[in-house]
Amino acid sequence: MSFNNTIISVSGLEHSYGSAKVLKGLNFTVEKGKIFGLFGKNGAGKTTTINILMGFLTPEKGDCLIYGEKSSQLSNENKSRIGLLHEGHISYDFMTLEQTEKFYKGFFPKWESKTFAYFMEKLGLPKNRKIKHMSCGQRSQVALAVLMAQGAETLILDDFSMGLDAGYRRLFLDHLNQFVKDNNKTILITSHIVQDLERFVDEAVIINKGQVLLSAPLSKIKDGIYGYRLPLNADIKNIKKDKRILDISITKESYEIITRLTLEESKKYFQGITLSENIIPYNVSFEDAFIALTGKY
Amino acid sequence: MKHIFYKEKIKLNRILLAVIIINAAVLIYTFFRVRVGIMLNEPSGIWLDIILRNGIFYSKVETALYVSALLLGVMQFYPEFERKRFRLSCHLPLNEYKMIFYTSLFGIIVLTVLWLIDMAGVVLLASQFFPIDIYRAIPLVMFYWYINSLIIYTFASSLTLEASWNVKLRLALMMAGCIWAFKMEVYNSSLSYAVTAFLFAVFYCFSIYFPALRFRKGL
Amino acid sequence: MKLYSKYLIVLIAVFSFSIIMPYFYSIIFIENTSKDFVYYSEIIDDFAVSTFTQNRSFIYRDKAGNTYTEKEFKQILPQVYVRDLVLTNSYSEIINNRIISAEDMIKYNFYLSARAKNIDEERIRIKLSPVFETQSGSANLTMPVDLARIGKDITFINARTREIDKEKSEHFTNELINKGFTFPVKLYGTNPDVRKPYDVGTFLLDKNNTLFRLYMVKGKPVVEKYNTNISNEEIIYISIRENKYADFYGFMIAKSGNIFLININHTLSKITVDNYNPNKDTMRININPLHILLNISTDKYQYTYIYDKNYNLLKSYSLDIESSLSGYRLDIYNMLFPFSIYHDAYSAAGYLKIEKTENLLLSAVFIIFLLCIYIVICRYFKSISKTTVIDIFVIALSGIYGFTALILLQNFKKDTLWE
Repeated sequence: MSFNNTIISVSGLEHSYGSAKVLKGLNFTVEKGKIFGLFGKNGAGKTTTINILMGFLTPEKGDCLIYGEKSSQLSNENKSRIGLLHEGHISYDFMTLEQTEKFYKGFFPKWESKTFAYFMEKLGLPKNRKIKHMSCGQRSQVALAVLMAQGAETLILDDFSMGLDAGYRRLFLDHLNQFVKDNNKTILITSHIVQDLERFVDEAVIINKGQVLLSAPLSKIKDGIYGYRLPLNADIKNIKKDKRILDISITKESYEIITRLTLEESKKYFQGITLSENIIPYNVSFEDAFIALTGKY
Repeated sequence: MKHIFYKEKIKLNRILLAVIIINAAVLIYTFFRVRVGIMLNEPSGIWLDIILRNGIFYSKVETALYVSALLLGVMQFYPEFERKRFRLSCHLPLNEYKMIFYTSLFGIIVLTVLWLIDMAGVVLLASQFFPIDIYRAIPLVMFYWYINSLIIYTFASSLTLEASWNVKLRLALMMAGCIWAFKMEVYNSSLSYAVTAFLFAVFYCFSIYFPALRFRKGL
Repeated sequence: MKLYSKYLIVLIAVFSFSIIMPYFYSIIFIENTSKDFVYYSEIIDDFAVSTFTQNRSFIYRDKAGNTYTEKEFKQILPQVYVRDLVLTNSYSEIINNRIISAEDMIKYNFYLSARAKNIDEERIRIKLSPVFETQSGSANLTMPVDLARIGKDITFINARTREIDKEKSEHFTNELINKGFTFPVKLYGTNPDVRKPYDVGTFLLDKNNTLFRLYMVKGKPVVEKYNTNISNEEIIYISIRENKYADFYGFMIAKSGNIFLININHTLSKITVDNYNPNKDTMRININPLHILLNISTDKYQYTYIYDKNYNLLKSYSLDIESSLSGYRLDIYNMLFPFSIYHDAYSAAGYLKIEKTENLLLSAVFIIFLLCIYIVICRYFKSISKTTVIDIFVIALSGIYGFTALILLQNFKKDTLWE
């Protein structure tokens, strides 16, 4: 990994709130052109990490560099290269669409009016509509339009899905996908709705209790994790979560067991609980793997 | 700077209108009150009353100015505080110290213009009824009101922008004592004192950096 | 910049606390103090003092230490209690071998006073003044339609039209010049109240420190010159009051503290005073048929002087003035507050007065104590850093103000905004 390819570099990040240590030495990097997902349960340290990345928190120890500069001391040039989407799609609500474009144009010489116009056309609202009079989903489109039009090379998107229904979440990612792929942008994205990002991110880092639990390409996150459905009449009382059995869920039709056991191993393991033919493997989703790795609480 | 001003103007559109209306209304009210007073009494008696008792017949303008300063401070920075919208401004490709300075400067400029209009209005009004000896003493009195309004504006802004209620309370305790420190109720007070007071107010205005940098850098 | 912004708040807090903390301490711990009223008794040939105590009762005594009942006290001060004595039929007309009727004692008893605040106010007052018709012919004077601007000349401005009455202005100005007045007017004094049957006029000091009396009779100016030499005195205050029984119109106060009575016979009577700073102290004169009593009150002492009718100093007496904060309360005040800032919105000079502690040693000891506490607190919360040196410096200079500000700004739990 050369310096020029590393856009975001987080090393040895530590931070506490009072006596509670939230980050205990976080390390990860984001390479140029990659779409990087940052995942973690509530309280894992995700928000703290994002705040440090966005430069609104100075860590106790460690470094967070973006384009080689500390995230809390970015130069104007680098600020213009980085687009931030704040949690809740924060924008200047008191502005209209027209005013928003006029305002941001003043700061970004490379403002792409066509890109902004494209999004506005998709939005289908009059230019004099104030952002505060739009729905959550519409606001997210405006926020994305600003990020795209400002020509940012790197995007940090904090919980893009907040407040959005399934339709808008999908639309958001569709737009993002289109522009990211075409322009080789680097993205760091988080979301509480993990399964949305399965179709989007290249690499993921899962943090748990302030440390990196796993950092790998998305395809490899699920490596070695298998899912099996057992009928509801299976006696699973004695099955406990351990290094092999990662998670047990119940749906209205079956038990779903996430495990590190292969099919053969699982048939032996579940002998006595149910018949082999009742053990039905299924494709583990990213969300399943995430819950299995981090636990349900 | 002009873009920051553009944003602030959009944000404060209605408030600007409100403060203009408040001040204009008070000026008009003061005019009619003085006119009635002069009409119903011997004008020389009114003049003497003002001279002997330091009669600030335009005192309601002071209230209007302070209310305007408070409104400006709160309404300019509440949207920044709400939902942490200030983060957007902090990430603009602009030196953040300048960004904070320009944001606050907008409010100060609005307040200054308002005060100048008020002062011109009062002097114009007074020149219709009083001799130059009286109305030329008005600007210095109103200058102290301007100083106090700057302090009130900064106090309101700082407390509004500060994200933590705990720290808001502490800031209020530390900064409130200055609010009436330069109140003036007499004509022709010392000019050197006015200069000192103004320098202090300028110094005080920079205190907006404390909550702004706490917001920005998580102090 | 983070550091600067923090210390900016600290400095603002120091200023703010130095105004409000001493103020709140004073109003919480203020005590009712006793007040002394000093007179001179020709009957016992000594100073007589009535003390209004904290218990709201009076104690009557003389300088020698003898105490009196209320009745006895009034008896020895006929010039003060003449009306009471007349009511109780105990007024004696023979006082120290002089015969003074009760009527004369009432008529020829005058009280004059001047506070530093009055002098301050006059100095900056807008220089417009009424010139009344000297005899109105009724119980009250009529407010003139114009006011006179008194400065480089006399200019009458009609208040109804706001126009200058050129003729009248020239007439009055020329009359003064003809009588030897040299403009500009340095200082002037008048009684601008209509609630009187006549007006003695306006007294003006010209450029050469010569006093003139200007009054108006049937619209015409009358000017009288005082041929007295006070060129070596800087007069800072002129006070005029009408009293048909007085043989003076008022008085002037010089910066030196000397007082000049403006007599109706165009002379000045000088009262030489020690221990009087007109810009800080309060002065009271009682001129009665027996003597002239002058009282000067500073913030700590009360000086009383007795003069004969020729203004020769006979006796003097000084008393301490009890402070509203005294004893241990005052000690604590001096200990807690190394300095205090006092502001008065109605003060003519518009100043912020900075008063330092009266007990520097006690204050210094307390500051050292605060420093120790601060260091202990920082060590306990493990928040000692490079800036602690600056904090120590701030506390050393500002005491409890800086200490309080720094404690309020201290982030002991290291909580941040993002919780």
